[in-house]
Amino acid sequence: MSSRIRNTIRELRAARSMTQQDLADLIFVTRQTVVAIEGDKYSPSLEVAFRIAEVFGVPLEQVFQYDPPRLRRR
Amino acid sequence: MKLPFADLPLRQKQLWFEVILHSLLLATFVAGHFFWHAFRGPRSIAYIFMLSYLLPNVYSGLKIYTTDDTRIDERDNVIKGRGRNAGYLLMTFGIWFILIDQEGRGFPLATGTVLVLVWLGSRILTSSVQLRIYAGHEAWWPDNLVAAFNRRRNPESIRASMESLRAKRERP
Repeated sequence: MSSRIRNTIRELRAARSMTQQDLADLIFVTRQTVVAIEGDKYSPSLEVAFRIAEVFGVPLEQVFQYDPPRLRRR
Repeated sequence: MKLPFADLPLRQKQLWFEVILHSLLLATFVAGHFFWHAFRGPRSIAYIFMLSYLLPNVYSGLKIYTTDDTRIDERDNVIKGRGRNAGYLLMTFGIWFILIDQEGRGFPLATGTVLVLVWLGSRILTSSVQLRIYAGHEAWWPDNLVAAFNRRRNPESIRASMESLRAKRERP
């Protein structure tokens, strides 16, 4: 379930001295899901993504970045 | 007694439990079937079959559910859905197998036996697929196969195949 969506959750969490379990409790998911999201193994739903951004107090695009596939120019 | 997978989260613990439980059931069922057909007995293997299903369930009820965080989130549901799809696929195969057998091809297994085998097989497959995805793999298939498939199925390759199709159609 790896994706083209990258995120900065690990850095944002480290800056706030927050553990994965702390974040999981705040966004109502399991710690394993936080691990999977951080490792780009799982793309969360929009609701969870917004909750993460809200917890860190930053805009959504600062937490998640989309890496689109390169398309050939016609 | 500490289970070897005791440190895993609840969902994965349950899945390991299901895989072991259903593998045990399958082995007991196959052994029972063999003994019944080969030596006409003992029939008591049927009771062992039932006990092997009931006892671990009682154990799991007492041990796992009382000691774990039972929170299940959206990722668990997504993975559960993918596991179920694999299980349904095998079940569909089983139904076709029974239908073909009804036509009198002469496969030496009773319909009930095939149903039990398909049921156990699909349960084992469902749990195994989920465990594999939890372990960080893409799917049940080897990761290099999935990666090769994903490389071939990118927007550029789809556009190229569409263009070649269009060119073939427009050729006089």
